[in-house]
Amino acid sequence: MTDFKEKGGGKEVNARIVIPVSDDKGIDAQLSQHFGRAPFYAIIDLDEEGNVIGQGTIANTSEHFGGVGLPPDRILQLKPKALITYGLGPKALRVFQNAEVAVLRTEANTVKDVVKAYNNNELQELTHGCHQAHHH
Amino acid sequence: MIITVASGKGGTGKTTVAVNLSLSLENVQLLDCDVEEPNSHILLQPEIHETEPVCTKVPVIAEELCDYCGKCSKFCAYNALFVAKETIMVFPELCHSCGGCSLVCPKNAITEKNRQIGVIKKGEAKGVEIVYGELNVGEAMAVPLIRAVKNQMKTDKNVVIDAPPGTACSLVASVHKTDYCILVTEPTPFGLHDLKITVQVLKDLGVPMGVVINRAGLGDRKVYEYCEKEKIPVLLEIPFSKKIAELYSRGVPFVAEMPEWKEKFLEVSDMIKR
Amino acid sequence: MLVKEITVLSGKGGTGKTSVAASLAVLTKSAVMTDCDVDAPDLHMLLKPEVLEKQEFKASRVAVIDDDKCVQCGKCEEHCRFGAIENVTIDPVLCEGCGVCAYVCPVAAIELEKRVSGYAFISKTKYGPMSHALLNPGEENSGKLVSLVRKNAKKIAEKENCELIINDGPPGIGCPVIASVGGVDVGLIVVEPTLSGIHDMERALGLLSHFKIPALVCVNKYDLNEENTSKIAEYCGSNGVEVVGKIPFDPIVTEAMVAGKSIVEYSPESRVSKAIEELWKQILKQI
Repeated sequence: MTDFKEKGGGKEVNARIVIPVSDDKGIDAQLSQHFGRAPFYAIIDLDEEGNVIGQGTIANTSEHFGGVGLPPDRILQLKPKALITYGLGPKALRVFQNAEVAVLRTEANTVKDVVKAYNNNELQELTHGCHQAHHH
Repeated sequence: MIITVASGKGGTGKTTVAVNLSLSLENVQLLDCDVEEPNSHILLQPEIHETEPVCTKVPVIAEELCDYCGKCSKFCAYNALFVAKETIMVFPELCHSCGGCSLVCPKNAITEKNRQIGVIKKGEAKGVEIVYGELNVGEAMAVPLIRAVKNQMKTDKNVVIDAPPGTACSLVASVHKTDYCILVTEPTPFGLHDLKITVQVLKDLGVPMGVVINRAGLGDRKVYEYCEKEKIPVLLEIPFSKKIAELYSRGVPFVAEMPEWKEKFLEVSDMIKR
Repeated sequence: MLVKEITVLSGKGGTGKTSVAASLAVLTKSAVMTDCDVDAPDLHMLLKPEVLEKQEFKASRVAVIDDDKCVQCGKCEEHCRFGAIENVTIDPVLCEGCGVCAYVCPVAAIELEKRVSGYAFISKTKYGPMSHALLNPGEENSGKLVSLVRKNAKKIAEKENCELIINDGPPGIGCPVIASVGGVDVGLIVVEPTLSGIHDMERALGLLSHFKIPALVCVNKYDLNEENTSKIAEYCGSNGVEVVGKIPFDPIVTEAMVAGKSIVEYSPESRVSKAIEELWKQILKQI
């Protein structure tokens, strides 16, 4: 896990987005295919103007466990406003919807592109879960 | 005296030797340190008197005191803590219970709570006292439970420790402070290969050792040549025998049905004392 | 391209995981093989890999006391939770590298040094690429090394366009086993028809189910106790687990091992080899 980097002089976090990614590069990371099986999650904090004021990464799998995955309630501990992903399982989707976390669909490849699209309100809600990773 | 029965390779007959040895001696306490897959109770069939939960300590964050400074996360050598703005997460399955996070927290926001990782069971059969541990399925770390089993050791008894297979930290924790180690091997290339690794560990730890060759007759002579070259005494040979294999498959320790073996195990114990 | 992954495990040691895994390597000739038993690896003795790349595995630290600075106050010993400090001397074998002693030392006499805990290897064999490792004796973090072996295997599979990874798993159900089954498509449990074997198989099945990994079972040396073999079939049946293979006992397997060959190479017409071929056919139906 990489330590969370903050900048922007202690500004208020307007939105925290969690995005499944395949590496630990944070804002420069590549998206991963499926929410549940992603090796990492990028955590991006945005201010009111959509500037990135904080970024970090947590591993979805511990190095001991090699691919197990964090259950959705652990993700909720991060207090996200939105999850942005290609797809995720129906059970997880329900958990996030019940917790009033927005689950949004994307086709973008990088976290940077996802953040841009989010700020421009281009992203649509993900309405149903899928069971396995497949190319979108 | 504390004797540990180990091997590098799994399935060579550690538990067979440990249990049959325990049944052949007097005033014995058998500690099964293979907490992932304990088998000695299957052969010994003890009456269990006590079951105790075993816990490790994991951090609890009082979020009302926490200011998310991140010092705990930076200190943690095992990535068990994650801190972001207004967010702190603990990954208890990664925690090694070192207590460091609680020490470094400038706000005293971290205390510890118990997390159960398994149980210890204590029982008795045929004059042998047995203590064994069972690690909860899904738990990654065996060593804290192995330590808990060994804490039950009664030094006024003849202690026999049944160690887990392998040569890593679980073995080292089992063999820690033992007087002697019996290495059980089979006369095959895999047996010899893994034996050599274990011998090196024991040499580095300064533990005197001897070898028991199980399933003698199958395989080749290289194990014997190796023991001679390294001057490691061969304490006993158990021949490959369908009768012994059959008794084992039924969960019967063979000294129960083949009493001449009791003598042989007693001899092993004498050899070790000398 | 989706790479499929199988891990061969057993719970109990010595049931024949490596012998079966090596035979599967020979039968498929197109899989990436891994040996996840990083403290006592044996697969290389049957597959004879040629090492192409060696990586240092540095996962842990060890505390070292500078005797010139040390004032023998004993604070380090008081705080060490692993019993690694006795008479103000650090036992590197017991040290878990947590850093607490360095933190509490009033004269900053303790430093944490990174140590090489083992090595990971990327190799090639007659039957395809192989990823394996060797953990230095007595070390911990075997799970992390297993994860590295699997990471290397995935990279190889992508590079060489292999569709299958077969992991030869370690014994037990702890850290290294968990690391060897995470995210795989199937866990193949090799069990012997003994009471201990059945007990351990049940725990291994529990592990696979805990991590939601589909399980298949193969009974090795099934004819040594046919009553227990039936018990295994019954247990699996009532738990929705398929028994996909039954291999007979035959001393020729040991002969093959002594000759440094997998059984399907050494004696392809033997009953054991035929049983393994059948096992492979059944596994393919499931993945």
